[in-house]
Amino acid sequence: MYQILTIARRDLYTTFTDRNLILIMIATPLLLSTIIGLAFGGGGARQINLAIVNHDQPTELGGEEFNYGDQLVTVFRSIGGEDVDIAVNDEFQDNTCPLSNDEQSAGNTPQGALFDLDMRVTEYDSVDLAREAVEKGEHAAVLIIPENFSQMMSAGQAFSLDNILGVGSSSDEPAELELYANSGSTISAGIVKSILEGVTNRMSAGNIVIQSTIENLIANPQLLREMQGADIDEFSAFACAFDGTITSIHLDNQPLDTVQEASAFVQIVVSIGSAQAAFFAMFTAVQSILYIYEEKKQGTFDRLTVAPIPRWYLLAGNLVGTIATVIFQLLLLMVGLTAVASLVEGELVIIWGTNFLHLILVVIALSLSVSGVGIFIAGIAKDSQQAQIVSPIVNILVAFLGGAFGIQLPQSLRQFSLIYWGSEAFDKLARGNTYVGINIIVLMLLGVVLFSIGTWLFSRRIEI
Amino acid sequence: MTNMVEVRGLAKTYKSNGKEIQAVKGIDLDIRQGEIFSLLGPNGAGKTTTISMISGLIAPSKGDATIGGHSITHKPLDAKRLLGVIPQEIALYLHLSARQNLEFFGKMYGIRGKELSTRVDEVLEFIDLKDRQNDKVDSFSGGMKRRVNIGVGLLHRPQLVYMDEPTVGIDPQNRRRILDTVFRLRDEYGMTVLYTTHLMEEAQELSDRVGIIDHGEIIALGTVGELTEQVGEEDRLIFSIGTQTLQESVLRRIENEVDGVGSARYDIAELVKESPEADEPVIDKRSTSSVAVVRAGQTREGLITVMAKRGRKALPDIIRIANESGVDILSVEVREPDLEAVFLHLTGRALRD
Repeated sequence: MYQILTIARRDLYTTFTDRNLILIMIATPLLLSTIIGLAFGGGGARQINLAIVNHDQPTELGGEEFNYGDQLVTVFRSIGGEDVDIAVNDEFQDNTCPLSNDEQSAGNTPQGALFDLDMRVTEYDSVDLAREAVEKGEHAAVLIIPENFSQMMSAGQAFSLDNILGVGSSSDEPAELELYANSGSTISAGIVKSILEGVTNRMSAGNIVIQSTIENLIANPQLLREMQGADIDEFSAFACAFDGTITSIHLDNQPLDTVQEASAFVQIVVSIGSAQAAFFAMFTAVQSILYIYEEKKQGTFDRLTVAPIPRWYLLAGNLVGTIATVIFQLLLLMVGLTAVASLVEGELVIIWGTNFLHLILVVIALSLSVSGVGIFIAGIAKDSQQAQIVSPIVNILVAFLGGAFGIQLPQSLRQFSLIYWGSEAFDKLARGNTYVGINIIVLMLLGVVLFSIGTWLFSRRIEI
Repeated sequence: MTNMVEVRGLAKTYKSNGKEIQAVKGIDLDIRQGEIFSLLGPNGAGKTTTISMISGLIAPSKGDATIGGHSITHKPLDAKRLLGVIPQEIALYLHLSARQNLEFFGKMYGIRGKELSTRVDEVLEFIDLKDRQNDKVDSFSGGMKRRVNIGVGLLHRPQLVYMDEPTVGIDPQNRRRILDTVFRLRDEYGMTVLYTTHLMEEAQELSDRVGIIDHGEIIALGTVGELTEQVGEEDRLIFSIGTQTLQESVLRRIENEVDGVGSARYDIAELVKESPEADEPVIDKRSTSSVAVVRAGQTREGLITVMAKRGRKALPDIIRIANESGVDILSVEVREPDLEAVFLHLTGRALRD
């Protein structure tokens, strides 16, 4: 065992003292990932994936149906640049209180930030499903709009005489919007909350106007009598009046460790960077295994063969060395990509998430899988030269399938690539999602199968 | 004296294109403890295959060998522990330093910690490379590399050292140093040395005993003296006559008139330059004599080879007969019975053929 580790240590030393090899193993994938990250994510919009569960039921006001839940959804969709029905927005705008102080309300909204946002809205029917998706890191947060939202917002209800006489009676059942956020996406969730507050502040402003108007009406019954005969449309300016309870926005975070929210650049660096890392690690694995051929050429293999160690130690040492080399390469690349992302972002960014145990498990599983491909290639190739030809073909194919070049194929194809499973695992962990068990299992299985077949074939090739 | 190596019926058969090739045909051989034993044989004789089987590089098809009583087939690891191999090629990690190489291979023999460090220091001292121990082997001269190559084979203090043509391609100074090392291994450390070479002089100088292998069989075994006795006590006299023509009658006169002459023959030597750059000396590839003086541009050389008892005494008479026949003797070489002659006697061809 001691000899196996000695051989593995020598392999590590050999690899990491070769400047040219380091250039290929570390510098190239770092550079490529940075370029791709800057090209597709640098300085671009922050992407926020928001889930919305809209249970709101429309309410009738002045003979017209209003669904304020839909309007909220439209607001968020419009931030995402979706081609939404402008009329809805106009309607929404029309329904805002013209008496409100626009400047003041604007100050409460994150308008300035809206143009830098890429809001991706996904609607769910089920609250549970939406929460689960948030917990998995698929969305930064879920906005849950209750069934009675429009009813509580309804200006018509507010303006019914009964209600005027008893303002706030409907507050027994507050229209509570719920924002359930992933703690790994605190910044995104904060932005969503800020937008939500901005919108509701505008609504509240209208509400204050209504309240003061009603107080005036109560103080001047003559005016009230005159208004009773008036057309309801004249009160359209009050359509913006909403129940003040809607400002009660509840931000519910998952009890996870707080991690920083990723920008588009960081997200791309995590996704492409991890795929590139795995891609280049596959080359390293093949090269490392083929080092046995080099040893045979140099005569050191024979020298080791006459040492008092079982012959299989030589292969085992080489394979352990290969896995260790790949692990080190992946870890170095992860550190390197973190450094690059931090430089681009201008602050230290922990881009891989903070669940280090899972990260290590994914790295080990990916390394086993990558080394498995390496030994498999070395095993099926007749000799070193053939392996050198086959290796790039297989590696590029696997990388292409796995999305290492930024081209996303359908998942049905991608899942045949170990790079997909590795990259997806890193992606999940970066988003605070620890559901990477399936990724680890797939990578491990793939690694064990390829490793076993490859080792068997290769040991026959080198006559061990 | 006990035997360090005992080889019994060792055979190796390869399959090539469906045909069975017997590289080694069941040889028997004993190498005594503390002796320098040279195994001689031309390329393809089975020399490397035999050594490869003894050192555990390849498995024998038949038979067995023991090193220090440990069977190479049944207890290979125990046998290997007693064996140090010094290959002909520089089998080192060139990107590692001399010390790192020694440490790495030492660990392969299970040596570690302080003991490893002490042994590495000893070996570095022995190969006289202590001052360059931390330099990469890649930066060493050929001779220095070879010394590290030797050091690696000695680090675990083996009882049997196998040295495969360790002086090939190195300068005379380093060659001398290596030959002295071989003696030291035997005399100072009591090691048994199994030495292979194609240089007769080297084998003759070093060996306590010599084994000659040809076509996968040991054809002669013994001390240099015992072997040369097999070819009688005749000296070989080689007269170079350049491109002059020689009458058959001259050869007969030498055979009949000169006392002690057994035979005389005429050979035409094809002259081949030893290296493209070298003008002289030129190696004769055809004749059994090895060196001839050649003039510029000359590609063939006429040689008279005379086998005679007390050859030096016969020289003046032979030269006289040649002069009387109008043949100028350009150079003369007197070769006393040697391993080359033994090999020629046993196989009918030169060892270099």
